[in-house]
Amino acid sequence: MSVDGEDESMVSAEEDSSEDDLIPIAVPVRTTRATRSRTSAAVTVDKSEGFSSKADAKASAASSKKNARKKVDSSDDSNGEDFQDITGYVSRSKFSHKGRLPQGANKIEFCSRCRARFTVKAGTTPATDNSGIGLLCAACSGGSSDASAAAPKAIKKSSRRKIQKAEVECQVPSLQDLCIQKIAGCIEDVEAFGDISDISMAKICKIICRNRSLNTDTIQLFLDPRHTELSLYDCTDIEAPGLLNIAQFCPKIRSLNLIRCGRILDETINYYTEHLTELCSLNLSGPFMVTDAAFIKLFEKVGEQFRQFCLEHSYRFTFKAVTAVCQSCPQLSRLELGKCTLMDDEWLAPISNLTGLTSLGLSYPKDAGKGLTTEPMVKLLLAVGSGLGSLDLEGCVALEDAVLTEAIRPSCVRLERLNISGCEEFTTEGVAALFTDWKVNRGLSVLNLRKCIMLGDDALNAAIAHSHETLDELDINSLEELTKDALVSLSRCENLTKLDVSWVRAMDDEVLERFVQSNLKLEQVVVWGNHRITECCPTRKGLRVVGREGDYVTLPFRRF
Amino acid sequence: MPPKKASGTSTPTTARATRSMRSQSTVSNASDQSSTTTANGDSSQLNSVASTPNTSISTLKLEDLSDDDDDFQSVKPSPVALGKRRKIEPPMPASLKRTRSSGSMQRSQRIKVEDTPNASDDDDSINISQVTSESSAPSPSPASSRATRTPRSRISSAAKKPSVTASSSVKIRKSSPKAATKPAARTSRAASQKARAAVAVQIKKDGSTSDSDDEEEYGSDAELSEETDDSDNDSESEDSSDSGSDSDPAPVQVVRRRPTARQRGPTLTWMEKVNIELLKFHPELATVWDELENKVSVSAPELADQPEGLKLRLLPFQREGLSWMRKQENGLFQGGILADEMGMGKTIQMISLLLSEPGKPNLIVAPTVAIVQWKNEINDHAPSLKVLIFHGPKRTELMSELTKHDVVLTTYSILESAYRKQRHGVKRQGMTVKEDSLLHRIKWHRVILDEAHNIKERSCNTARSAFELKSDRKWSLSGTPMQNRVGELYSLIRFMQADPYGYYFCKKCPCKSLHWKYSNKKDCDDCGHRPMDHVCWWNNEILKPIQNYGTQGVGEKAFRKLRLLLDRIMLRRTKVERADDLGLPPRTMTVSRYLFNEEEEDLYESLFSDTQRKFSTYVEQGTVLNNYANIFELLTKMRQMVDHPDMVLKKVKPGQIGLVETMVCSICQEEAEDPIVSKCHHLFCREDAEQYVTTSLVEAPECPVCHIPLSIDLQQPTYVKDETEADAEIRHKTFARTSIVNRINMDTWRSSTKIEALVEQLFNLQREDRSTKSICFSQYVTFLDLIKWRLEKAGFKCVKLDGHMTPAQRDASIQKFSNDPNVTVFLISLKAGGVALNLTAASRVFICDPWWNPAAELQAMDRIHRIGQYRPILITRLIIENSIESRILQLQEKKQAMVDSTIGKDPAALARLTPEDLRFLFVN
Repeated sequence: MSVDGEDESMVSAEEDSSEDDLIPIAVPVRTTRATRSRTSAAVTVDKSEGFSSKADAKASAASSKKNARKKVDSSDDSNGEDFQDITGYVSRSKFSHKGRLPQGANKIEFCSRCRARFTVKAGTTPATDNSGIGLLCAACSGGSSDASAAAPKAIKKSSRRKIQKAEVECQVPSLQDLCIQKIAGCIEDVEAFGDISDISMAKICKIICRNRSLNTDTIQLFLDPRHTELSLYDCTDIEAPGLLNIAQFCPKIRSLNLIRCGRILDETINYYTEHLTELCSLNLSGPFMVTDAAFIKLFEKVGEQFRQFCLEHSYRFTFKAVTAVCQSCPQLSRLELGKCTLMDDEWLAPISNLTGLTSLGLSYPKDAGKGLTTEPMVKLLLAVGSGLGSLDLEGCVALEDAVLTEAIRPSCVRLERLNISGCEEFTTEGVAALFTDWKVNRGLSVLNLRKCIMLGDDALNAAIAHSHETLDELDINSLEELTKDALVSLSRCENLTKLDVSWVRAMDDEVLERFVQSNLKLEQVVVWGNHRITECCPTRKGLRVVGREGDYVTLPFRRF
Repeated sequence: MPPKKASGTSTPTTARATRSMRSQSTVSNASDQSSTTTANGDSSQLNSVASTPNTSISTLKLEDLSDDDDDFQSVKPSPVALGKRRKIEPPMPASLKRTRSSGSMQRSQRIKVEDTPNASDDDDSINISQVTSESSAPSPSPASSRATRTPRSRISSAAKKPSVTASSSVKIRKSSPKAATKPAARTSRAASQKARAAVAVQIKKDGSTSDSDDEEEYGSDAELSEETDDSDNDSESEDSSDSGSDSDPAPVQVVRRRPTARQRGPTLTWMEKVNIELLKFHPELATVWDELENKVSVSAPELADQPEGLKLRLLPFQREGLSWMRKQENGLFQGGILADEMGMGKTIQMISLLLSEPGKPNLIVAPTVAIVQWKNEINDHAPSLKVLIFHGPKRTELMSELTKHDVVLTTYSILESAYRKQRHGVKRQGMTVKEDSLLHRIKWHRVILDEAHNIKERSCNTARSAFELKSDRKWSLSGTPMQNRVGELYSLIRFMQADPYGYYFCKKCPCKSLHWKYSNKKDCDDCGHRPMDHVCWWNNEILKPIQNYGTQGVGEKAFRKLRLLLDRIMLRRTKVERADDLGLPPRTMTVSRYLFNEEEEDLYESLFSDTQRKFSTYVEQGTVLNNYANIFELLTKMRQMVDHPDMVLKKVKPGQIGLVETMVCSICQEEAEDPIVSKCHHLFCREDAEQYVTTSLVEAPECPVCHIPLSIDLQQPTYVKDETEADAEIRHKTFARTSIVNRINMDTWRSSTKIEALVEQLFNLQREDRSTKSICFSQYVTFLDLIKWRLEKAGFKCVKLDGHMTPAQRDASIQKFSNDPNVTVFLISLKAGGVALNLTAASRVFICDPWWNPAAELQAMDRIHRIGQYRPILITRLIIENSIESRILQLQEKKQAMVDSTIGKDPAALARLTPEDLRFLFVN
């Protein structure tokens, strides 16, 4: 499918809708896209036919493999293939009663025995059960002769769920972890820790933050004068005195990381300015009450030694403060400003003086319309881009292709991590132009294209061609224009460990099967909204598939 | 005479103004001095209305005016208003109709002229006309000259008519000091007339370009958007072009109409006629507003001390509020309206007021969802107060029990049913039994209505039951005292029994009453006159003028009066004003857009084309308005289809029997094996329930569904649905309620884009080092059921709140959500939980389906954006792009733009769907 054709259809759709809109009130561009035609998707599936027949052989091989597993399912607890018995076959005709799915495309059916969804490959007829009405998935039909005889009426319920551990608690806990959890659960009663390793300490901290029990009292347990680093992940319940205590008890802190520190005040920052003399890395998320003045004072006093400054969720951080950062902190190597509601083009000029930056993040600027625009961004990246190893432009909706082609391509030679998620104006041509023959760059390890909704196959192909050897994490969430062909070419990325293909509707069992076979390092595939991925899709040990709609992720009523 | 003379320098004429005239002149005076006068900061909308600078004669201001009028007209095509206008002036061309609306002022002028026996009446009227015509001289359009000439002719004709009201002459003398500003007032009249004429022309123009005879929505929108986008200059030129365009028809009309106007003689608005009649027997009413303005001062904010016994430290503005409330209780009104924006701590301010005079009985009436929260807050912050919840079947019947407590909490429904039993009785075994209402028998020290907009409909039983409460002091709390109409404020004022604002008056005798009592349906219980002879003073003074004239002329005066009153009885602070005091975190709103997958789209398309066809049939037959209910149902269907197809396809029609129902265990979310039922009507597998109860660490574990202590007999026989009961409704009530989950086929259930999108977003919030709690709002309880089922399958622990739950269940759910770190999702139906909840534990809001009225969504979001919130807030609206939802979003934006661009417009337009809106939704 040519990119031009697709563009045309989009343009015409937009024209149509604008003719309909008799209301001349300015409607944001984003809304107009609402009527985007979905013709591309239909074409997509047609095209994939060729592939599906090719892949047939492999698929059948895989299914036989699965049969084997099915027989020993009790031993395979991570991806148990136990299914429930059937109560009755219901036609899915109500979902596609106009038969809009192109002829020959794969269909999805429910297995009449194990209740799981499975893919019926084009041109094949699935096996039926004894009654001749219910369809059977490959796993069930493989052993149909045995299974029909032994078809258990009621499989014991506790074993009939497919259990997949959520990301939140993915490992089997060690004894140490269990102890830590126990301690964290009773944190209110702990008066002091004896000798506990820093690692365990950090773990406890994480758990109690998650349990929302970090408060003015419990914070004392984590304050130790020897510490040079401190990370607290949910400071919401720590009141002002508790926050002051950080500087009082740990004067040697070099790196301070406070998340959700909504209670931090100007006085607190001023106190830090006075007492944390060795501070060189500061990461604050949500200090919305702290004003410019306090920040400026901080930078002027201790900014000289600053290496890192990250700030999120502040609507009082202004241009003045940015200027202060850039003037007083010459050694800064990492600067991340996100969700600062005042961030706009003006901010970029002072930042371009920070030539020592290796990591730059400017995400979610001022609300739509203004924010960061192309031209100043190009200037900034041309100035600082050569040193950058990591660039994060998440949610900069106003940026256009020129940023990719005129700034990132020529200047960001050392770039390894690129995050342009949510930059909706980037086009397929722009991304393709960035990656095609981008010889000065040796390949990205992390690429995030989430919600760059206009990108099509060519963009992804170019990116893969450029960095298929280095790519470690890839996020192509919501790129609905992608077709199966582009997805299949992902199997070239040998080193890929994490992949997010949510909402790419062309994704189906066959593609996933390809990944399972060829991307051996793959650890996690995220497949939210991929309605053609079924529970029967093949996986392998060590690969987690997150987001299938049929999965039971974890038992209800777990206790810490 | 140069135009500047009009702005205050013309010769002072004495003893001329009637009451209404005078109030008009003060306004003009104020805005002549500077445009920043009347503004007081509070209740921004009303305020802006009241201080609309429509009295200056500069062309710019005139332009403003015409804008206002235009907007008002274009947004208010409500049949009621139009119909009323038509009723007053039956067969008139548009141009004259508009000039007529200033009749009240002409009337006052006339009275004044005739009341002064020795002055040279004719000279004066000529003088006036000169002023007026010259004031409009700068704009040379024929339209304006016509507009100014019409009133002159009327004034002169009025001078010949002998109609005098005795009562008005008294005040005329009093008003003399203000007479100096009178000419300005006249000019303003001319100005507004000119503006009106321009509007009339515009409307005519619209009418000619569009097919419908109502004001064409799109057409006026077009103008609107131009006006909002452009600067004053542009709108000026636009106006001049308007008046230019109408130049040919207008003069003709004037020539034709003038004689008619003369023949018709004096025209009074209905309200003025009524007022004159009222004054005969109630002369005290004439000076009400002046006295209000002069005698009752608006109290300046002061800081009260932190009250003793209150554990929470009050914020500065809350202490201001406390001192205001104390003053108010000892003042004229003995109460008031605390209308701070949502989430600013009205509750805590009220608790601190309760603390100031302990030992006296107070009654708090609150929505069901909020009473337990009230109790908890009182217990937490003011433990010295004794609280009783008067709710539920086991509530006490002893008066002494009630009076023993400092605070009695009850709900509107209890209040209403108690009142109903006392008033009309209840049928028991065929006999009507009346029962005295305990709540109404007690004389309270203080009655507080929380979320007082619950009584906005003055004639509903809830409102009446609230009016009947006896107390020394009366308070209303509401974040949105006026949701739709000005009329809603009456209920609050009536509740306060403010004299005379809440009273009915008889036109034929000095009878006045708070009640509309006609025991025999014919005659007033007090004076024996007919209902027609009685007038609601509020309606006549404020409501009707505003309804009929909007922000113009009479309506503007009414707004001013309203403002006068509200300044003295209402305190309203907004979050923006007090942002620094509050220290609220930033609030970001995003829209997450998704697309249907092929199958969903297919299904949706077929429904949509079907709907579209029906709608176009209605359009062709011209029966859109007649089929409004049908259309609304179609819309609802489409919106439900977007959420999940099952919501439409598995809908139970009322009375439908023989459903395929699965009994679903509330623990394993599977079809229940060997089901048993708990006391709170929730169903479990026996095995699951047993395991749950026996492995519980605490003695009495809570019900996994509604979180009240679980009471279940594990040995009970297997639950079988009672099929003998023929009535499907009763059968449905066997469970707490039939969840849609019981009707879907779990084996072959497919999720929808919307649900998966929500699950994905929630899943991404789960981290090992911090937990983010979220609230999901939907308008459809069934959708919440589906979401809950899906989320629990995905490993989330959720709680749900809907309208069917008892206060105890609600409170248990809220507590569960606030205190249990593992419960991360709260599903709330927009109607049940949109108000009065404090859920600061959450920092994310998901709005699953967009509502017509963005204000309702804002209300919902304010559940988390309030005092005590320290986490940054993100509000996400989930939208399916290729569906009606994107249209709804556009509609919202369009309406919001309209509201933003006008002042004092009817906010109800937001909630209302006009035929044009419908067309916009359906025509793709």
